Amino acid sequence: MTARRIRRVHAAVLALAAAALAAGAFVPARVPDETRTGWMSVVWQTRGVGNELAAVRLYLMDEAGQGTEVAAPAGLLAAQGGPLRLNGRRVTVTGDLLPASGARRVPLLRARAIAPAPGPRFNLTMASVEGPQRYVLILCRFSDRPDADPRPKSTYQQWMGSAYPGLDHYWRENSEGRVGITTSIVGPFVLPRPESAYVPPGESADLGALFRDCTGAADPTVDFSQFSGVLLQFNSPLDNFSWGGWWTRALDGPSRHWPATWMADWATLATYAHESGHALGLPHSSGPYGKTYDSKWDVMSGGRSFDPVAGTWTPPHTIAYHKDMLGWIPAARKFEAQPGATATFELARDALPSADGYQVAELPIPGGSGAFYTLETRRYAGYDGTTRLPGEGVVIHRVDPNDGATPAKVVDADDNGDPNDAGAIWVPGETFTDLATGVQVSVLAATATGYTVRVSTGGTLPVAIDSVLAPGVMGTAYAVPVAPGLTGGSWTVVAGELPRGLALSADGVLTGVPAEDGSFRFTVSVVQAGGFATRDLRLEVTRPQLAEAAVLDQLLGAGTLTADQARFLDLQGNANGKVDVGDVRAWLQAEGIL
Amino acid sequence: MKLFTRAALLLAAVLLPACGGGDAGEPATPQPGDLTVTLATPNTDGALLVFITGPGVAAVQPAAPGVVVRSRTQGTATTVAVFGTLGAGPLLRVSVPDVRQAKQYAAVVREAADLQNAPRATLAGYALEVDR
Repeated sequence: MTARRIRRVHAAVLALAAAALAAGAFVPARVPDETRTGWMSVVWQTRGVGNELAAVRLYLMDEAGQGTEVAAPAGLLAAQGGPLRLNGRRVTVTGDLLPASGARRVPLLRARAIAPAPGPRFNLTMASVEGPQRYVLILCRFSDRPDADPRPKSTYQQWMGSAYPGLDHYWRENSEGRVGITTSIVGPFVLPRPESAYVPPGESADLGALFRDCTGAADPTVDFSQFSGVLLQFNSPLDNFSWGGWWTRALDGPSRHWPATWMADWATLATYAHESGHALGLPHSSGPYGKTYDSKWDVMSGGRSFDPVAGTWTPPHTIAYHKDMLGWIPAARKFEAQPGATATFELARDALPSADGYQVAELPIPGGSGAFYTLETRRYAGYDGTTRLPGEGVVIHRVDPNDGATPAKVVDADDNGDPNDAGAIWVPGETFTDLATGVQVSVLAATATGYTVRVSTGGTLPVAIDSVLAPGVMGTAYAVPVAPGLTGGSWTVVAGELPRGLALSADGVLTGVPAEDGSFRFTVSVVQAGGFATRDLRLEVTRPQLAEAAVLDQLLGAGTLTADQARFLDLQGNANGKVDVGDVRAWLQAEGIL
Repeated sequence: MKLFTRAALLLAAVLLPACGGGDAGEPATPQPGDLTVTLATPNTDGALLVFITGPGVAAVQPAAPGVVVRSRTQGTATTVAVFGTLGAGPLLRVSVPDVRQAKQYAAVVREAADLQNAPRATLAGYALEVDR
């Protein structure tokens, strides 16, 4: 290459760089070790009438209401107690900052450290959601589509109403009158910019700009000091998501941490219930399969059904764990089991509970993780109508409070991928046992509006049991105590199968006449005042050795078999109470003679 | 003549009884051999318990291939357990000391079990016939 050509190439490169800068294509550099302080806002991004979870976003809001999105590793959030514990807290976040540019309308701070910062925490705790809440629903239209809202204002008035099916009615029923959401509907207002300015193609909606401009458009006619929450309804699909959570902004007063929703045009009443649940402080629940929207037991998962009369999708109740989070279950109606305890009590239904019994039971799971099981009764009543609940029974959730996005997951015994079928519905006569943790739940009987349940939690009861029991012989009476020396316990077989003819008595004696041979493995549990224990046991049952001549003589009239041997012959044959030609044929076949 | 006639009539009276009776002309020695027991049944069974009465049963053998027989004789009573796939037709061959005495033998089905070893609740329609 000649010197002239090299100079030309350099000139071209410089010209291209200059053109790029002039066109705004310059990408600002990453800022290492950026530290920002503000209030953390959690926003849930959901999609469709099934309320599919897309993401949980964290925004750090400064005093001016400017947001910085925070991306934090799960471990860093867990160290802070999960994202919900961070909500509303004033914190300092340190990490690498990607400034806003192009389609990224909000700076992104990749957090390496989160630390509490001095300053007030917004008064929004899980237990503070009580009393009447005044929300404002603002209908906002984009400047490039200023002519219509997704639905008539009258529809939104019905959805927000205090009669079925209305949002106020719904939350009053969920909270037994503790919380109501009275919503004023204002608008429509036209936003100053077109949709693409707020929802760049292929990008997430700019929640901050949407909140700022929609509330800003309404501000001349709305006194926000009269409201405690803001529902924003837009006339486009947004980014195909609706959003619910909190946003920090000064509106007719100092900065506040607003319960807020950003609703897409396809939002239904069930969507409003779901997103307003987030605004009240609720996370998602789900089945145990990593699918956030698969549980029909909860408005905060995939629970909803179409009401053809109302013309919209309507929600079931939220789960008892969530009601307890929000302080809606009195302490006297919450059963909290201690380790190593057993109790029997009535569990009232989740929807419109009667005055009797507990409304939720919490059973600690040993191991120090803080996890626990919750029990709740689901019976058809109110918003838990027949079309919304998968069935009636006791529903168990495993709750890990450190899982900020989805702490409560349905326990599904059949592990078939469906947390809404019989495997998740515990009815009288069924027992849930977690062998690993020693937690056991038996549904004993149905009451008028609930169920009577017996619960036991893992204790330290020392139970000495030989894992291999004394062998049995088919046809010969068997009576062996499973744990000699232990008295006062209540024993049950919780897994596996006993040989036909044997049963475990409540006082722990395996009795009966074995009617089949083989090796049998099963699990027994014992519950007594001092605790709960389970053991895996094995029992070998053999066939007695008989001579062919003796067997035939028994049939042909010169019997010499003992009573036990004759009983064996009958049991391994047709078990009709006597030795007959069918029994002898069965024995000859089993011995390989026939 | 009168005396001769009386003597002749007396001789005839003595000889005539000697000419009466059907067996009077057979040999006196018994004929050992097998009698056949034939089953009439509405079912196909897996096992039968058969009871035979009659003197001197020496052995009991199956009359059809694939059938297994076990028996025990005490006096004039023989109990036989028969195993196989058992339908209507010849069932057993019974060795007796004199087949000419077939009418002295009788057989009945005491128990029946189906091919799954379940007992038949009724034996109606079951019958056994013993003949040469």
